[in-house]
Amino acid sequence: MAGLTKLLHKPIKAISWFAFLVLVASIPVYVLVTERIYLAELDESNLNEFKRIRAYLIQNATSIDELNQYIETLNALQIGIAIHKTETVCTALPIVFEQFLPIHENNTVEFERFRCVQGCVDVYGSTLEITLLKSAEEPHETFTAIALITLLFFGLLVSGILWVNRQIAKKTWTPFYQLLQALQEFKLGQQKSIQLPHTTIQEFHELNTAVGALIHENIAVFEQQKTFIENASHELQTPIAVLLAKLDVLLQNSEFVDSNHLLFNEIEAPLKRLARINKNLLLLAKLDHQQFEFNDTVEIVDVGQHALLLFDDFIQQKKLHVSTQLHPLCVTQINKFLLETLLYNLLSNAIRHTPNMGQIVFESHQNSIVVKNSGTEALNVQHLFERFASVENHKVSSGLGLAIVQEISKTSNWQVSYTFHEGFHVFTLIFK
Amino acid sequence: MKLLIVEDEEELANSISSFLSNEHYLCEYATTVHEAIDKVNRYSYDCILLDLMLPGGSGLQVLEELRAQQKNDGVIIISAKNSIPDKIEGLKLGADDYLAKPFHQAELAARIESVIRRKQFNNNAVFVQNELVVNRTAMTASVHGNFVDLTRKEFDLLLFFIGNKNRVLSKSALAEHLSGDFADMFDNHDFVYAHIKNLKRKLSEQNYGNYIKTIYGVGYKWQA
Repeated sequence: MAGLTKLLHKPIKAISWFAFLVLVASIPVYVLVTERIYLAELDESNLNEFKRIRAYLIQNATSIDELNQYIETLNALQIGIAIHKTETVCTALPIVFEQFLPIHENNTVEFERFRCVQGCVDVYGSTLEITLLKSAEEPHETFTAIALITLLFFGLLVSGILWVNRQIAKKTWTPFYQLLQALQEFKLGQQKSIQLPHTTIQEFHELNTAVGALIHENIAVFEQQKTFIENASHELQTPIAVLLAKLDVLLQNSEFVDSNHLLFNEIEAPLKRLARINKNLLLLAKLDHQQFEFNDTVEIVDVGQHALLLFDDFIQQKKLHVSTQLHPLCVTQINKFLLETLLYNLLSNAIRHTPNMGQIVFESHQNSIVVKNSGTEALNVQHLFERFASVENHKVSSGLGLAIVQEISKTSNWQVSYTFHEGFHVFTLIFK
Repeated sequence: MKLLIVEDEEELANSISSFLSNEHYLCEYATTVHEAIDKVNRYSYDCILLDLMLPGGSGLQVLEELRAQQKNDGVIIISAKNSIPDKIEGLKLGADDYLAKPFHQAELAARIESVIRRKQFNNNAVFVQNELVVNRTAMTASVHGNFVDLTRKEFDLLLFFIGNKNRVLSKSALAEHLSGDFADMFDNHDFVYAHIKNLKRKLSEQNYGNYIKTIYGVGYKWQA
């Protein structure tokens, strides 16, 4: 997904950059510190040497000639000592300084850095100025070595971080990813609450608690709504029953009926429709609530034939031609009432929507049934099985027939589909 | 015949009583389980119309009481629930029939008559009206001794009429009696007219007393 980085990659990038910057900054620091220490060491060494030489000269030079001998020898050895006589007065403390001196090597002249100590000593009436030198040339190798080692450690650090990160991720973030997956799989209305992963991490525990409460609340509200719908349509049953009962009583009043027979029919028809809609709503609410058992074994051919018989009058009325193709199909672990309701809905739907002298086909195959009826134009599949999506026939249709078909299929774990093929509306129901 | 209507919805109970009450039927009421059990203990009824959802409990308790007292009152459960488990439970406990609300009163009347006949007259199935003799078990009808050849549906209609003497039956009630619950999924019930027309014709051919009257625009009535 563009624009989103994985959770665990985010800190790694930052850490890597930080590590890089720190380590890069460390290089000059190392270099400076090393140099400082190195120079300090040189200076100390120079100073010690100076003290030793001074002490030695004072102690061991027994005559001026011996002294001159020493001076000549030391100067000639070119080991970094230069002694010469001066006229100036000897101040007690030696001074430390730096000097660049040309060095001849292989026909080239290079200026090298020297760390110097210069002091004086009084011996035999002469003031000697002693200068000690040590090469302070910082070898290039040091700098390179430090840089390389630093990079190496940077590499080690980052790899280590990655590895540790992955190990942590495996253990620590597992409950988070489990929760994420559980949330993705959760479907409201499937009667299963979410399974919260076990965790010892406080924040995840709090997350679990919050999510659990939210889901619980959600389910409760959903259940309440379903119960409400069921209760509401349940409540409606009684006043509807009263109305119809009163209507039956009114029918017995010949005085009223004689002059109001049209009105009577106009009252009865919508009232019956109301009763049917409410009954369907009640059924849908029950299906939502999954209140059915699936212990019946039914031979589809029997149910189909019984239905055709039951609707025979309506078929004859419209002069419809019915053909069947019946392969024995025995289904088990179903609810007989639901199956009958579904089949009756499909068939009555087919009969109602077939023009006079049209065709109805009922087929049962190895694992499915097909209900076909002749028609002119394909129906819009998208909303076909929705509740109240298309109410064409205002006299009779409850708008819920196909919704019931779909809900029963879902509840019973079947598959129902519609196509329009060669002039026929085709409804197919596949068992399991 | 004495009927007990156990129903907490007053208006419904009144309607049922209005529809059924005539020289043959006398209706009494109970609106709670307690009241129903009380009445049932004291009297015997030819048929009890029993709603299941009552204040103070379930109508099934009344059934249990009847069973405990070993009484032979006919019972028809009338329930808004239309739940199969309830239906099975009720029939197991001894109910004779089960009718889901809302129902056509004529259908209820026919069922009451059927239950009473089964319980009291040992299903002695012969109905006689002057020249017309109908044998329910044999499923035959004869006029002046001559057999009338009726289809299953025509015979059903005849029985329905007989079970609702002198009551106007709407086309809708007749259609539902023949085609069951799903009749009102269809908008055209003209087939009822066709069947009745045939029934009348066949009976008239044998010169029956013209008991089936057309009530213009709404339905039919068996005039006895």
